[in-house]
Amino acid sequence: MGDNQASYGALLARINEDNLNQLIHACIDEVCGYPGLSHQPFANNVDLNKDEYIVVHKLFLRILSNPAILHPNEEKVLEEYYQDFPSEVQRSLLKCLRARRNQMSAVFFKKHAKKFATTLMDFNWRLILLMGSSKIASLKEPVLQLDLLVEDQQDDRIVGIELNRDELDSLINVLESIPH
Amino acid sequence: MGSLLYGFSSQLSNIIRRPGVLCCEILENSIACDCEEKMKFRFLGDGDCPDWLLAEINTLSRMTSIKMKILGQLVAKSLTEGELDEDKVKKITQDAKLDLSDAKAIVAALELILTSSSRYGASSTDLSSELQQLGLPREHSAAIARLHSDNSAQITAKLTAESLRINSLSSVELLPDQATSPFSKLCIKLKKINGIEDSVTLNISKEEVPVLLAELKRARNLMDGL
Repeated sequence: MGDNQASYGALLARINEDNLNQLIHACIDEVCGYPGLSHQPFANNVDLNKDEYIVVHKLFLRILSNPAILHPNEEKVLEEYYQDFPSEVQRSLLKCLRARRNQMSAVFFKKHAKKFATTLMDFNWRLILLMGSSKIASLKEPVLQLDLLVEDQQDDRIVGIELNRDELDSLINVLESIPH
Repeated sequence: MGSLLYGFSSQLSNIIRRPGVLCCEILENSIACDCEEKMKFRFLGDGDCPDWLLAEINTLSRMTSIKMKILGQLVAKSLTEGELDEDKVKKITQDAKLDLSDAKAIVAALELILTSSSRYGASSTDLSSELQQLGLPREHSAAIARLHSDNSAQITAKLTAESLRINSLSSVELLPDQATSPFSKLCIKLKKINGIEDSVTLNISKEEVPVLLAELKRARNLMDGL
């Protein structure tokens, strides 16, 4: 990796610090599952053509997708993964990683957990008031429609649950029993 | 048309045996029926009375009101608890000299009266007077109204529970995990629309639990406000 990083050094040197921070944060966003940044907004500010941008973008994504860079010993990480980068780039990387450490570790945990079991990624809820049914004319029962967005190794899907008051209470009780 | 006539004639047979103002009312109502203007009954959800029920009301009025009351209690129990004590039903109906098909039919009639009046939230006074309008004797109607006021709450609860629900939660359980793990394991059991249970074991990040919990509590408060 060392040789490659040295050759990237020239490219990276052409990006000023602000833009570099922006680019790194955008790559972290992408690692965390948010939409990343395209070349377009950079085109005016940074002296990189599209191909060069793609090369740099790929490089950062590769580095930032590696959970090992979150190792608490920053010196060791620096030595191991980006020792050949210009010192400004190293500084920027460390700075961004420090700021986003919690978010990234949560994402890496989830990625890891997904390999072993269905994992909750997100959720959504809406309240429904059942006015009546074929069994009873005037029901007026509020029901919570809870959608759990889950992922496992194969696919992602939505587990929809309908909860009335009692069922919701039992779910709340179980969740409250989880130690923080 | 045949069954309509039968319903009508069974109603007439009651009318003949019933004196006074009520008879005129029934006759008027029956004539109204004949003119194809539908009668409306609160305990039937503002609908017309089915002909078979009219016929069975006639059979019911042939029993003593006490026997009918005991039978009604058995039916109410079967509605709330799910099992009909057939031996007792047989004994009562044999005592009343009813054959098996009549026995089945009056059980069905009592079931309909009790569920339907709970379904549409009819009051016991309404039920009693409407049953009398249909030709059921006063004591019988009062007995059914009494059964209704005693059992309506449980029957309504049962009907509510039976109402269509999609993926209702049947149980949720926290599975044991290591204290150091950033995830908790939940086992969620759902009852699918076809009655089959489905279970999902879910990893949930301990950091996200408070977020989910806060949202669920918000929803719970909203539910109470409805």
